[in-house]
Amino acid sequence: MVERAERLSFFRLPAGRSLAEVLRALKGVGYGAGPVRRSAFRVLFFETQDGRLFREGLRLGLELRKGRPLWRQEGAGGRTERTVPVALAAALEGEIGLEAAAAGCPEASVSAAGPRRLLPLVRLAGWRAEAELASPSGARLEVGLDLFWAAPPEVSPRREGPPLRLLTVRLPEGDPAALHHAAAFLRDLLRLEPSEGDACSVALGSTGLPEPGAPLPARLAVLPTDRMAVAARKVVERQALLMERSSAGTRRDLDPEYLHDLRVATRRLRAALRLFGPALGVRRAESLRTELRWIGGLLGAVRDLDVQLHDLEPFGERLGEAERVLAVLRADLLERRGPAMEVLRSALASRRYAALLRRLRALGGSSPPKRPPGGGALFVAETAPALIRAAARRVFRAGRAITPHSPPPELHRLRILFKRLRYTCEFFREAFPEALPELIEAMVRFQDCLGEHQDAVVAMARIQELARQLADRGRIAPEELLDLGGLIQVHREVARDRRARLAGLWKKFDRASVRRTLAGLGGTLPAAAETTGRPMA
Amino acid sequence: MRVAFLSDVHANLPALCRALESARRNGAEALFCAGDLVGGGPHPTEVVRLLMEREIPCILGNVDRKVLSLGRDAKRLRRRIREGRGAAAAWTALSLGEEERAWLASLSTELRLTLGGTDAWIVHGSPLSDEDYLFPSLTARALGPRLKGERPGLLVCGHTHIPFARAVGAVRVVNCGSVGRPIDGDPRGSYALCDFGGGGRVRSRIVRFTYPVEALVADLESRGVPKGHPALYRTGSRRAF
Repeated sequence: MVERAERLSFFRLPAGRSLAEVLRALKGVGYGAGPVRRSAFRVLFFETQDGRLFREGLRLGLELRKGRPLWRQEGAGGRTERTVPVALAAALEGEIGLEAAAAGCPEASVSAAGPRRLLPLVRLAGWRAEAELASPSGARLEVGLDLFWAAPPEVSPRREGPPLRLLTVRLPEGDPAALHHAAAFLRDLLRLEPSEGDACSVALGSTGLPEPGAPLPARLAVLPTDRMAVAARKVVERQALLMERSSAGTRRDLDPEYLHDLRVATRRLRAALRLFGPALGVRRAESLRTELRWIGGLLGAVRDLDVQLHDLEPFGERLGEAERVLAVLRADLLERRGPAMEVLRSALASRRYAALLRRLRALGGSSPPKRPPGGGALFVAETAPALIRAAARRVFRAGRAITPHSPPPELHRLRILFKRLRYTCEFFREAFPEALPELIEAMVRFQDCLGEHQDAVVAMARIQELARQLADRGRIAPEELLDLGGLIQVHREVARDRRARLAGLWKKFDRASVRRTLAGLGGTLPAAAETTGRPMA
Repeated sequence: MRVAFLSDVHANLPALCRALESARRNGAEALFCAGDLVGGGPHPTEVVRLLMEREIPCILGNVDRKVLSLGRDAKRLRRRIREGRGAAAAWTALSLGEEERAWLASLSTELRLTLGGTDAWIVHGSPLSDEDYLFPSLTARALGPRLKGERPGLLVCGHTHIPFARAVGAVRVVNCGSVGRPIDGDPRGSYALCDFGGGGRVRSRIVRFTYPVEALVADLESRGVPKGHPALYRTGSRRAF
């Protein structure tokens, strides 16, 4: 049973059972019920790419009721409704700019979304029957039955097949115990099955769309008592799930963060297949890595441009009056991004990509063989520490060789080694909850600094190349060329600053406590554990 | 005439709903409840409300009595919960509404009736006290003094949470076990079904039924019932209330 902020309970109502029947049963245990009101409704739910509203317990919908559009926000603070200009009703028909569609929504949702955009999530259309209930203790409740069809945000729901049926009990105010009592009667007396979520969640489930921000299934957490072959499959399934969740959003190009998340998931998968290759079968892992490299390359091409577009504004501000040159740079980046995005979009819609996802799902969901190869029969508790320590040794070796004058490629190499160590730690995070989160945090700081350095280096190269091209074609004025030089200088300063910070951050990472944590990694094996084979690392 | 006797619901609504359904399916024409309706479980209000509305004759059990004796001073009850002094009973007392409490307080400690020509005596523990125990090993010699010189055809009780139905001397003794908190190693709830033939003939049997234990456990946890012990519901193992 989902009870959001103890104000709402949701139940599935099987076909053939009506709201009148529910009200009759509740009357039988002392409840009073008002008349049933019926109305048609259409609603378009909004959410950020990473589900910030969901995590804050908020649900935001643009609802069309009796021809009038209104924002309806449901959350811990109760229900907020706000009327919006009739022009926005167009959002419910499909065609409207995103910024305009999310305009004027309640403050709590805006604040929860923070810098993220509110994006259309799923569309519903159907009928609602509602009635007021008075509990024996005097509390006022609302019970409603929604019958609806759902569709992705780009299309209108087609009223075909049986509708989805969701019974909602709502406590507008008062003691949450009143809601508990009513929900317990519905569950136990009427044998209604609690629903996993509200109308939006049910609609997402029926359309196959992912719920942004929803936690991954707990069964995918790697345990110290898992065999390595099992752990490897869990990690693959987890990352494949994240890839699937971000694929549709990337194709629709609603928010660059979808693309970022998809790229991170492919990178992690590549790292996982590299790490667990022996336990999964080397040839199979290598073939999947090749496919991931293909899609990763296409994602990287767009992502690099997205990062530069994102950085343009703050760096431009530091440069002062360089609006024209910024416009030139933006136009250049957008000109490159368009074709790169098109290539990516067609790749994501291709059979090759679908086959990749299918193969990853199949691998993640498969049972390991009785005698898994490459140390797959060993337990995580005994194998993972060795893997983490091996990755850490490579980082320490490369990091200690870095000097204030090391060239960018060496720093980039260190960054890659750091990423591998971090991914290895993250794969086993739940298996070693005491030690790893702190270690990962220390790595993130260093890795972010290296990342910003690398971004600045790439941006400098890109601007130099652009300046050369424009100068060759004679399409740039000398003062604009100087502005481009100024922008390169800003990036150079950033790179210098990050380089200066590296020594301090390295000291924080390469210290006795981190080494002690790494040396002390390990877990207790189950009493009856029998190990076979040799460690992987 | 077929009659179902329930006992020791202990604020377990899913189990009570299943017991009522099972009794109806088994053709019970009347139902009686032998006390301990609340205490320990997460649904005191719901259980009382359901029994009230269904007009099922009930008696008071020792735990019901304890809950009522704690009064309704919310501050004192919260302190008891905080300090762990009779916390489960205090939580129940705090959860009950005025109407439910008044109904509970109106119950007697025993019921005497005639069913199909048989004199039936319904008590919680034994006719001596609601804290006395009648176990399956009961002998005629042990039962004698407890009947206070009376000779009912049927004695119905609960309290031990261990069901049995047998003739002890000239008296048929039926312990209903527990609807909502079995402790005999079987996690299923239990109640008794009695068939009253003419001329004082009584046939009795114990019925076991399953109920959604996980739904109950979820409510124990979400409502913060003190000393809920979900594992004991899952295993049907013993623990003194």
